Amino acid sequence: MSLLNVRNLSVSFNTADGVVRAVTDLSFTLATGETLGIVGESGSGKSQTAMAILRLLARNAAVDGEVLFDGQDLLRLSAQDMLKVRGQRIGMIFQDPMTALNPHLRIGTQLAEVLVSHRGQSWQQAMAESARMMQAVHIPDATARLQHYPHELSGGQRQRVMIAMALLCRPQLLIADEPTTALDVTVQAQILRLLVELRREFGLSLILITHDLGVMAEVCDRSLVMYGGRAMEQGPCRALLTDPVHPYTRALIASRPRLDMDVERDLPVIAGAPPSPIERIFGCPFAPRCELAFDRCNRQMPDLETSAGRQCACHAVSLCKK
Amino acid sequence: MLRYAFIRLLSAIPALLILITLTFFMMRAAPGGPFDRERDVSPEVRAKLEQAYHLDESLWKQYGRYLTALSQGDLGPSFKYGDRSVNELIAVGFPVSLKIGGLAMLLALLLGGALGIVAALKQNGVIDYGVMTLAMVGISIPNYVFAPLAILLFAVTLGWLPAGGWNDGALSNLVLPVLALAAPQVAYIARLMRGSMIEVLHAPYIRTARAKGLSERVVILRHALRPALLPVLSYLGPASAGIITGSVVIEQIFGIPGIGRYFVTAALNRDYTVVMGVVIFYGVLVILFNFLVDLLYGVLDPRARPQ
Ligand SMILES: Nc1ncnc2c1ncn2[C@@H]1O[C@H](COP(=O)(O)OP(=O)(O)O)[C@@H](O)[C@H]1O
Ligand SMILES: [Mg+2]
Repeated sequence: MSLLNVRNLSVSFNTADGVVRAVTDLSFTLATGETLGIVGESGSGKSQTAMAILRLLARNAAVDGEVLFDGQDLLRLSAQDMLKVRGQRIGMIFQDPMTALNPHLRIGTQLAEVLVSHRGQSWQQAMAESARMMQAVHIPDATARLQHYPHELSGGQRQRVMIAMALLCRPQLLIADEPTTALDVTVQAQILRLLVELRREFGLSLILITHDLGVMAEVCDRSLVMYGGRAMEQGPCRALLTDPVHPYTRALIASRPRLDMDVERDLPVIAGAPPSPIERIFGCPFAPRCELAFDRCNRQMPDLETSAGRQCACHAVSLCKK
Repeated sequence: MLRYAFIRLLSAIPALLILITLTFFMMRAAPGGPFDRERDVSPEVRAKLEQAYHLDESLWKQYGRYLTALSQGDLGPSFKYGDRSVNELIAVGFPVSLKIGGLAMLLALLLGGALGIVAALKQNGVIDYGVMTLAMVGISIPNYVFAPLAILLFAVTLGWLPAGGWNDGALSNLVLPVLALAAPQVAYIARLMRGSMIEVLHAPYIRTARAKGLSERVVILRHALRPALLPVLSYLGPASAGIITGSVVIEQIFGIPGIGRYFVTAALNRDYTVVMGVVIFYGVLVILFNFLVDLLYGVLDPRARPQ
């Protein structure tokens, strides 16, 4: 059975300018022990998908659909029961470790409080266990570090702290929202390696949100390509990268900078801009920028076509015809 | 840390000097003098009096004389309360002023802070609008309007509280003046607290705290309260100045024998030394208070600690 089963998830925000549709009719599954990569340009609804799973959306949000976690619909859980899921069964780490840690509290407090809250441990016990977790994410001088404030640590160290914090209660699922985007390139690789190591060590299922296809290729089993709040294509990572079907996935892969390329001249960018999330779109959100689009694409959202473990939503191309 | 404190205090000296100089010359520029109103004074006696208090000397000489005495902590004799020094007047009046001022500050912090937090947590709800409307009123009504209205309602009409007087600082005599003094500060702090709490609740680290599965109580008390208090803390310096200036008016209205009342009487009578003494005393107090607030800021915000 799949650990996570997201069905027809929609997230919209009521704003002064109108309704912002961040996620529309999104479905995907995650098997136990699997790593799913969610890719897409910024604004495509990746983070809000994660926030919807944890029920941490802003107050002006409206959610629809089902988030079945271990068979339980998280969207229908009481607020009290949801507290037991967050941090305990699902851990989450965020993009910017500079701002994600509380600058006013010692690292030790921020770690230990998780165990104090969820496990009812004493602060002393919790501190000791936090120190062990700090060692597990390879932070040197772990015990001394617990006394430090976040601003006394480097970006990479802070992200390690975030990871340690998310893993304290041994969650089944870890959601990492662009965990390396805000870091130096050299540090990015280290953090990624750490995630891979911990995934094995802790038997984690992982959702890795990224806009970097390279990161995805390295770490993920399967991937989900999102655009304009919708799933464009899903499938095994390798197949998707070597043999993309959807025009958007193809454009995304083509626009990846490669080392052998003169970036100034050769880098193909996807023409046009992402759709405004305020307009109500009836067709495929990518249609205005798609080379293969025809009139039907603007009128009607294509269904997800499923074939041999892959899914693709496009009127112009088909998984089978390939 | 000690070094930082020392430098901070040293840097206050120029500010104080400017304050002293300005007050000194402005006071002297005001028309009239301390002995103008005494009717039965013959020109000879008056000349003797002025001589005794060195008022016949040049302004600069008097200024120098004043600074010399001041450097030894001597604020000089009062011209009006002939037998008492300014130091004595302040020593008698300050405990009274401190009592109402301190209580007003405490009330402003606790009540203003609590109202602001509640409003922030119920943002855009009925409570929020209620608190913010009250705060708007509190800020816009000056204390010299608020005080008589409060007296009219609670003392004259309802008869619950005395209309004025000190009565050795009895609780019933404290209520109205403290309320009148605190009202605008409660209002201001409530608004400040609400704004900063709302902002902090949007911070990424609050999202992290929630993602960890902490209860809302822990999120607010442990994670949000401290950073949200920082702007309020910074305002305590100006608030202390506001309460001090307010107390001058309030003590007068309620007939409370604090420093503020001496100050008003002295200003009207051109009792130069008393005016100077009170200004300097309160100036030092405000500077000290701001200094303490800065130290406290360092305690609350680890990033602001001087290395
Ligand atoms: N509180 C909010 N109110 C209105 N719109 C929001 C809110 N939060 C996110 N959005 C919008 O939702 C869309 C998806 O955002 P997000 O999921 O963060 O994208 P990304 O794929 O970059 O993570 C964006 O257009 C964003 O502006
Ligand atoms: Mg994002």
